[in-house]
Amino acid sequence: MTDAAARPTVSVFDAGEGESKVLGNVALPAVLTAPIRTDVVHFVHTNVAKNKRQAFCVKTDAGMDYAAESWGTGRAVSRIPRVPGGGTHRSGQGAFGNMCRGGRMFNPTRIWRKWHRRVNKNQRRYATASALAASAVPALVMARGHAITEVPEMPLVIGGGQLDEIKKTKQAVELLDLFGASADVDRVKSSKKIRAGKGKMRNRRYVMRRGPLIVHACNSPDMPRAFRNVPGVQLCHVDRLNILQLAPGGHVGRFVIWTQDAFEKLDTIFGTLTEKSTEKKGFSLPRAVISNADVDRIISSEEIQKVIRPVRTNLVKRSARKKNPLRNLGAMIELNPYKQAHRRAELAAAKQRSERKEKIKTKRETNTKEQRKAFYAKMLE
Amino acid sequence: MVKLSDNLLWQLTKGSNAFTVKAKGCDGLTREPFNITNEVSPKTSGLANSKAVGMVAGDKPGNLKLTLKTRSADVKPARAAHTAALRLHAKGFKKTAPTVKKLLEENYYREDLSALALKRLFLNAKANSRKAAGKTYKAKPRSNKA
Repeated sequence: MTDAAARPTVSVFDAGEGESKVLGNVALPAVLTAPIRTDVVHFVHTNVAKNKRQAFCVKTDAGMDYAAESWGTGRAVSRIPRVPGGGTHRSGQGAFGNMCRGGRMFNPTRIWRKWHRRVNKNQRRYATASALAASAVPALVMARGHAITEVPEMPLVIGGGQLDEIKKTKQAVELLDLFGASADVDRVKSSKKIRAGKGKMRNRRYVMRRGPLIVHACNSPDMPRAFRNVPGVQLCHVDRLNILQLAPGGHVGRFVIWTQDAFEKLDTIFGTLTEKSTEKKGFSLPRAVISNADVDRIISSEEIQKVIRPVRTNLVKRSARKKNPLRNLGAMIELNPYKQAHRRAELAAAKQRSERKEKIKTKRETNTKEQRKAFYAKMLE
Repeated sequence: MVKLSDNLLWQLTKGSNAFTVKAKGCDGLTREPFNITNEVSPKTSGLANSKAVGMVAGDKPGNLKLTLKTRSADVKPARAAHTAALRLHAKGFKKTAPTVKKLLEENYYREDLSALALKRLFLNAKANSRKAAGKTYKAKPRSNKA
């Protein structure tokens, strides 16, 4: 079974014509079938996101640059260190403590805080593979919030000579519109708001959603330049895929638009299940713990249904109440099966006894003194 | 092009999802496209079912459209929906219900959703008839002032 036969194909659309013209078909790169491990992505994202942080701290000796000393006890003042000297308001005032005015803060922020995190290379690569795989599933992309109901196919691959000739943002916007991506761009545009919080006065005034990510293999800056001013759109070279862009906020399912060159390069970058990657040394694609995760389908398959036993419907024991064997015959018989025979014998004996009694009674009734006298009288006639 | 099993998709989308409504009082509701009850549940989920049913407003006010998820929805989002128009305004519940019933119990075959779809259709019909009859909601006076 060859790779191409095992994996489905993806249509490559013409950049100039839109979804009406399909240039060709490409086999789905193996990365896009990698297991979607949101836990790995989340872990890697939270740590890698810390790497762009800039250090902050208070001044090293903030609040401590005094020759303050405590006056000790016996002077009717608290024991906090006080600023020495005289001739100024400051003298005799408390110093150093976090509670003092002009004192140092509790636990001053230090520059040597660990700002960056290193994440294992293989974990980073695993996360990238998972995030890429998720971007190929429309349900996950929609769940992440992208408006892709007008996109002709997922994953969306665009090719053709016209793509290289895009130099103006106007052309870029037209292209996005042609492939149903303008709905996502509109969503981003309408989401632009002033940031809540102090960031608004720290050069981060506006926030808006993330739109499509265009992954390309361009060496020239023309195409990226055309697309970069479209709100929400980000660009990424396929050689330098970034988990922060593929899974913004740690959530998988970014809407990715691929160029044909970039899409075809994925197999060499990440390798396939049979071939190792040429670009990533020592990397082979992550494998799922279970190759066919559709458990429902496995259970309802012919092979299994043939072999399993039929459904047992009366599994639940309904009687929760204890039945007294001394009063309940059925309960007694469960414990002592002979009881049934014994009871039958008892009943038979009782029946016999009552019959005999009846007999005697009738005999007695038919043999009264009057009857005997009457019989004797009849006999004498 | 990647076909994930319904099970797996549910596990991935049940926790966090852009469609879940976060407003107070709307706990457990979603705005997903193919969800007949708009509830967060694996049975009715529009994302985590390869066969899913939804109901949306139709072209004219009072009309509805039954949307059925197509088989190519996991590849072609633009062709994800097969719609059946329900002219509720003109025909009423009695005449549009058989369309829904037939589609869900015979053709499309999601008979577990049939009752839910019919209920939704009925409630819409009832709401429409009220509007048509010109009934308006009058706020009950709830304070001493009234």
